[in-house]
Amino acid sequence: MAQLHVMDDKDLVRLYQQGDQRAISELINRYKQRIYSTIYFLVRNRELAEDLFQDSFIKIINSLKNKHYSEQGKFLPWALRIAHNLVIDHFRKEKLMPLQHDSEEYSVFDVLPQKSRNAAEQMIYDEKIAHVRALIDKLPFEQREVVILRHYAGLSFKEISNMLNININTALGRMHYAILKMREMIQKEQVNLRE
Amino acid sequence: MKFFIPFYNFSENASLFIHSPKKKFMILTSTQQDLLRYAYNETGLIESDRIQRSIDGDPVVRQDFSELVSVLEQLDLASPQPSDESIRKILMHC
Repeated sequence: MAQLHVMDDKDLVRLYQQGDQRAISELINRYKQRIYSTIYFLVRNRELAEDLFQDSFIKIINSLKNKHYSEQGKFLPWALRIAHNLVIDHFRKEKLMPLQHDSEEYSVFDVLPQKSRNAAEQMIYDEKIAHVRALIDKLPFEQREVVILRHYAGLSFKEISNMLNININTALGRMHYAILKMREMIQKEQVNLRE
Repeated sequence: MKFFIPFYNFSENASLFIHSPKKKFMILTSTQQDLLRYAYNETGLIESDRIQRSIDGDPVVRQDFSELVSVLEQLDLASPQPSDESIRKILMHC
């Protein structure tokens, strides 16, 4: 029997369309973190991210069942486009831009896999994660979008430019300015700490 | 780790030169965009070699690349996961 985890996406899709449920589990497992991270960092609200994540995969599954997936495209960019469109639809419906935040006491990072850390180490680790999340949150939406799609979703700059209908240099430029902004924020914090 | 950290060779202080019709030699420096694509392993062999030489040979480029990698390493820390409950609901739909 073929090992699912070594099969490529195209074969897994074909297998699922032939009725093998294990194939879709493998695809979900393979891409859940990238797709969830993308949604979460765009909407910045855990509960909403979980809902949109479920909706995305349900739409993906329905499209696969109805043979609407073209093998010409790669699975991940296609799946991310579905997730991204659902996020944009949500903002349109709500007529708002992504400004919602998790409450202080309820953090998405509560569900991060815990490595063996003692309480003090865990606290430092949690602080670091919260710090990075705050850096990402402070970026303008267009820059944040590119950072998320490149770093967390794992799309190439070319794939991002196709997905967002922008020039590849625009995608690279947004990423570059995002990095500069984050670097600047890190340096400011270090100066403040020294003072 | 989602990005590529290349092997540094600081001992090789090589700058890269090309022939130009107007100027005999012109130094090719890596742009910030080149560094970004290089950090994410999106450059081909020849381009990667050019960029690595630029990093090795130019202290300013080296500093820029080092700061870029440092920010990307921080981003690596914060990758959230969906809940098991979400996965269960999706699988129920299959």
